[in-house]
Amino acid sequence: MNKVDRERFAALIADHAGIVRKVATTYCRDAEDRADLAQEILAQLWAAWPRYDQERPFATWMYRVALNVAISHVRGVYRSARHFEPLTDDHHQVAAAPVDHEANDELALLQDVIAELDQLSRALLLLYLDDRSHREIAEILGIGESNVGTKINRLKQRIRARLA
Amino acid sequence: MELDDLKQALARLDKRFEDQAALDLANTRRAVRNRAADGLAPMARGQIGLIVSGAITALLGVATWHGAAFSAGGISGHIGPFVSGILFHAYGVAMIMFGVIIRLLISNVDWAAPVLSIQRRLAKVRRAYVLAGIIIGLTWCVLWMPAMVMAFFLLFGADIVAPSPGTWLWLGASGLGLMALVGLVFLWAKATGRTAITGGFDRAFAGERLNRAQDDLAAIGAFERD
Repeated sequence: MNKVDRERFAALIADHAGIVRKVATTYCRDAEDRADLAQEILAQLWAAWPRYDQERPFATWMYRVALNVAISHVRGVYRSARHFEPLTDDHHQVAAAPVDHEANDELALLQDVIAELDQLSRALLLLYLDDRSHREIAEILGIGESNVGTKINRLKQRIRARLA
Repeated sequence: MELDDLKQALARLDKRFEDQAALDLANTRRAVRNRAADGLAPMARGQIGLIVSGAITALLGVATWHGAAFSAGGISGHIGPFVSGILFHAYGVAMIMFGVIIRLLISNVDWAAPVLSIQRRLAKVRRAYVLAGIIIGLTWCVLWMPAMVMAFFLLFGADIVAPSPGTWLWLGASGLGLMALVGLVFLWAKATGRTAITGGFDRAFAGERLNRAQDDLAAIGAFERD
């Protein structure tokens, strides 16, 4: 890989760093594991970069790699943990900040919702919340577009039922 | 509150971690070199061990049947060591094949493929990996006999089958019969939906790792169907 290619990769990663952070946040419960997973995702992105087809959207490619690594990572690392534990030191700090109780409630709810989902549904939720189109979600996950819509509707119903 | 309201929460959470989790590309490049590229690395290393063990086993098998065939008395004079050597030769080759196939499956994983296809493939690889271990392990119900025959022949030049071939035949047939019976009971329980029995087999022979791989495959199937 030449210098120009490396710089291009670095620039794209910097532009889309939020994807790695969001995936790591969705799949890991504490800061150390999150950092470890983020590093693993980046390592795998770097390894897969020579095969990246520049004609295709970078975000889709990046999401696929990040989610595949995250799900595999979690299946290996957190197998014994039955539930994602939403409250970590970071979230205690968030909760301690007296600025916006409603925002804290939303964060807590988000963590609770994530905790209740299986690994694949977490991926779906994350992609939806990150405003990815149904078509893009279908491409990333490898399911049909109509299936994406159905699953998102079910997620919505689930949230409503939870808050009822 | 609706699902869409959580979009803001995700954005807020991301913003919060943005400063903490500065992505260090220099470290990433080091990480590529230093760390196992993915969680499959231990499995891949295990396959190398399996291939090496298979090669040693096959060589011992060849040494035994070759020695039996070309020593005084020939094959008919050393039928026990000859057959044991052939069995171990075949067993070693099977171990090598298992190792090579699983290693190829692991090495060709494209992490940028759609999530469901990769996760299904990984679950299948894990299942094949565990099943290979079970098959290789279970065959020792019978293989301990040719192993002993081989060991005595290679170490001391002694054919321990020759004095009482009937006893060895009976032991071999009993071992094979026991394995066949266990297999038949399992197939019957599976066909008739007796989950208590099949579950007992899972716990006794496959253990947790195979169940995990099967659970993963089932979860992927359910996600696709629902």
